[in-house]
Amino acid sequence: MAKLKTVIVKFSALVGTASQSEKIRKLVGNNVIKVQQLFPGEKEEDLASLFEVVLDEKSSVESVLSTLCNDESIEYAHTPEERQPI
Amino acid sequence: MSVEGEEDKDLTGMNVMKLETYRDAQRACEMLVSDPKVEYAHLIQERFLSPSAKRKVTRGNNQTLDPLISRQWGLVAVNLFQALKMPGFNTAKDIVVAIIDTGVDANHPDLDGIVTDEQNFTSGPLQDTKGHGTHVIGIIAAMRNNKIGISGVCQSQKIMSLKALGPYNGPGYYRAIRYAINNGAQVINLSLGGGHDQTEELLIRKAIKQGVIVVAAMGNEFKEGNPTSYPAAIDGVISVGASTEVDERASFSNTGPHINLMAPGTSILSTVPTYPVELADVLNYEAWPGTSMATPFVAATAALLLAKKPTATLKQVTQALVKGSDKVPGQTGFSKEFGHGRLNVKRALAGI
Repeated sequence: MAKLKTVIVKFSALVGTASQSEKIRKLVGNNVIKVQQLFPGEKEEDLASLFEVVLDEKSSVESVLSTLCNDESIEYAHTPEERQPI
Repeated sequence: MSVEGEEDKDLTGMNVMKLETYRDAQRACEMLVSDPKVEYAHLIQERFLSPSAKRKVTRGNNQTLDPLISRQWGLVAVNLFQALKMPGFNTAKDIVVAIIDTGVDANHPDLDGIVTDEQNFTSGPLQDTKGHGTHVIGIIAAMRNNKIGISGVCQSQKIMSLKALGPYNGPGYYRAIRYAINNGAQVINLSLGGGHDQTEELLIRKAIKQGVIVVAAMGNEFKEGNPTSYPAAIDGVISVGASTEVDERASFSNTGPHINLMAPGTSILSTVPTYPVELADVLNYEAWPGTSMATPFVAATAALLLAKKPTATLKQVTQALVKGSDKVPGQTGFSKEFGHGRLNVKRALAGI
């Protein structure tokens, strides 16, 4: 099974879920499998402005992150760090 | 290895074998004793220079009927039994402690009825298939005086087990933290770590701002370059290193300026699932090392502090923990190695 890649995107402000999802799709292009709010229905704006972006296995994560981070409306974008039981 | 040059007949047949793991040695003993030519085979027991070098847990100085209590050296080290005798001591039965980990075997007889909320944020089964979460939860809350196994530190009967590890996925982990905040967790135990993650930090800061006590492990990679481990290094998180039976830093325990205190973290006996899992060699109970094991001692003590003073703030809880900790031999003040010292439950409770 192909390994999908996940990127987390945080906008500086929540403008609208649909329009911001669409913006991510436009910026990233054809490699997007899914875009969704990380916390659907969230009332707190800083958490509501987080999006989970699933990319296909062919994507260059570095390139996607670079594109996203260059957009002024995006506060940050990153891949989740692995967490292990220690 | 045999005893060479020995003339005493009783000693000439003695051989010493060295095996990789404790479990391998146990199995070798079992196989050897079944051979009629072998008189006996046993594991070599540890010996200490003086009786005081090893902490003793005896019926005389503990107050529990749990049969494995004598192997829980950590409870003596943190002065729990003295704390139990303090006037007005309250268990933390109503304090909600969230454990974000590998899940739990909620059917373990020593954890019977204490897990009141069990959620799965992974793509795997709800069941704890690694055993790590079950071990951590046992240290915090295994039932005391039930005549079974061990005793946990704080006796919370409102354990929130949030499975986010095994297999790990970032969004699931973030949702587990958010779930804990939204659903009344008063203490969050994070016996996990890794590199810096902006979204984790955003969520942990939010939890702290809302008054949740977040306790995290320093990490076990001291010998692999001692990297800074997160979430332990986030401001406001209570960061815990591992100490040994003789109050030294465990050789694997990471150091750094963000460490708050140490707690017992070597050979910590606790619950493991009643079914075979990835990380345990045996069923039901096993002793493990790790800052993962030290962290729940502190998280459970934070719960006891909240039980004593429900209005206590993060600052007050942190101060009670660090000011109440015992300086370890050779320590004069805060150090990146030991933090403020080794946890002392009685002194922490007296300080709030």
